[in-house]
Amino acid sequence: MRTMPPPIVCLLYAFCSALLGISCSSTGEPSDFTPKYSFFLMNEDRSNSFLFVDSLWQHRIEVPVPHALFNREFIQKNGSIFHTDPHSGLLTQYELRGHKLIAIDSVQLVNGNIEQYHWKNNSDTLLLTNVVHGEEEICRFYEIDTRNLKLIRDEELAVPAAVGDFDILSIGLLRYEQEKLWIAYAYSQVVEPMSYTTLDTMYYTSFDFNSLQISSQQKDQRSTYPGGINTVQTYSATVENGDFYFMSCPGIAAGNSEMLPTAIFRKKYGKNKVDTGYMINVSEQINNHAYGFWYVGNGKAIIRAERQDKFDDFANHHAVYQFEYFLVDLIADTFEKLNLPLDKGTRKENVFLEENHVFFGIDDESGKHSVWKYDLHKQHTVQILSINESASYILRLEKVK
Amino acid sequence: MLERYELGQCTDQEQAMVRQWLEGDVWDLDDTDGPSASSKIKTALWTDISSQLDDGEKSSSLPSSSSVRPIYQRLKPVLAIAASIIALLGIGFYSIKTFERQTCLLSVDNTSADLKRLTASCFDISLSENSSADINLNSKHINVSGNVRFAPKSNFVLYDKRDNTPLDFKQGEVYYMSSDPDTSKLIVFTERELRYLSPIIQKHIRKQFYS
Repeated sequence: MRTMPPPIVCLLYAFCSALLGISCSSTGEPSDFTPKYSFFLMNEDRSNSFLFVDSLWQHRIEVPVPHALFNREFIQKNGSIFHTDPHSGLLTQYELRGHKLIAIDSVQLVNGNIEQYHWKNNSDTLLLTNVVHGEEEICRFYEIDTRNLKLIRDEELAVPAAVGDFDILSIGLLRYEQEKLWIAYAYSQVVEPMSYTTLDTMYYTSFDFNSLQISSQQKDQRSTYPGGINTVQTYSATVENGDFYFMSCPGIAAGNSEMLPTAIFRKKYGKNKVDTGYMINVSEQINNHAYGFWYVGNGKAIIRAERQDKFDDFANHHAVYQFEYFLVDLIADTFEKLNLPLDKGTRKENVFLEENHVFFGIDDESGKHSVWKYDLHKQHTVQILSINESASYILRLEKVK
Repeated sequence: MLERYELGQCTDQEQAMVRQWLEGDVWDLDDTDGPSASSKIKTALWTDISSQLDDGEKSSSLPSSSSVRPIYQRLKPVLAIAASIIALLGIGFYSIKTFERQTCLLSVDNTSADLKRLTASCFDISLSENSSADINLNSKHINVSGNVRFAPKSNFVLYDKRDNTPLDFKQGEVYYMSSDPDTSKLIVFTERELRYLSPIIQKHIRKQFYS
């Protein structure tokens, strides 16, 4: 027969546990909690919130958004979160203090429509492009010193407002390299309420960084809608040798020119122009379009692909469980579908690399909102964490930067 | 109280209140038209009443019945003026209230090619070209055609005039409304919901409002 330990033993055990700082709850916050990973959630009541997690994926703190219009289109860098208020156009720098995001400083932009952001040479200098939509589209370029949130420059870029009747401008990529500012963009038109398409050309322009004079231009008709709004999702990467890879998104949820392929392109390091001899035709390989491209090292990237047999149209595109993840070999042009549950949510920033593991934030058909880990060496996936079921979507999962 | 003051029937406290009222700035009338009726009236009233104070101070503390009636009669026009001013203030207040209600009624067509922006006490509204809005917070109805951007300044519910669908508007939110050309049904997005639409549709909507 089992006997209960004497009461003195229980007291000693409790005392020792307290001394050793053993947490009795996976949601409690120990005194040395340092956020390592962050979730940005859409909850069932359509509100948003943050969830910060420690390096062991054990302890977590929930943090409310600083105001009701704070959305997923934020930028993380060196412990700061930068976000533009959709109403005022104020770019505000926040820091996590305890369980709150506190506004530290702000700078005025023309509006809240950030299309692209890029850290110049991975420094504290933030480069942004905004588009002002109106009778004519205007692209504005910002150079901001984020150490003290000071505007260095605010200029209009010489980007044509329209091409014929295609009068909606989308800046899909922005990059600084060797004193040049390079952008990729496309033009769309709305043909009737809620129905639209994109002109069958990707436009690339290189500007001298100091004068912002055009130094070269290129048109590319192999696809359309290069990249996408990168505060929402990643569509490009610079690899180890400095080459730049990006993906086009002509699928229904982005460019909506579905006859053109989703494809991966390359601009080699030091070159002003996109390599017209390189193209990985994603649509041809997997018979579907994709949105989201994350480089995971050694010439491999993850893409997030839709399943055209699962959704009806854009109305339910976000709600059906359809998204699959593929590991793409950018040199060998091969695709491997990863063993992960079908995910939902049209655009998410939910993939990141840490050492030889890729992490995914997935909302699956069983109603779970989980973190999955893929081992690049062993080629094996495992679920490591499920979070609060009152979440509806994991909109973002990333390392705290 | 003025009457009792003149009849010598006020308590010490009430007497002090009347003196303070006569000497202080209690009218709160709009002086933007310059040396105003308010200061003139004050001066006239003070002249009348203070002259009685002087006479009162000179006479015995208990007013005789023979001195009460004449003082009351001389106060009558003062009281009449005071009553008129109070009535005017009341009418003015009523007018403002009516005006406030009227600015919560809006019926506007924008047949021009330009964006039309209007500010009312209850909401701000922008109409893109060839759009119209008919909004009535009293009857709680709304009717929109074309593309409208609507920012309510308080919380209220309005009903779509076509099908009586309730629309719960919240202060601080911005709403984008347009009518479906096929069904005429009103489509409404908040700023937050707009960000989950296709990027091109978002841009198209913002283009209507120069944002």
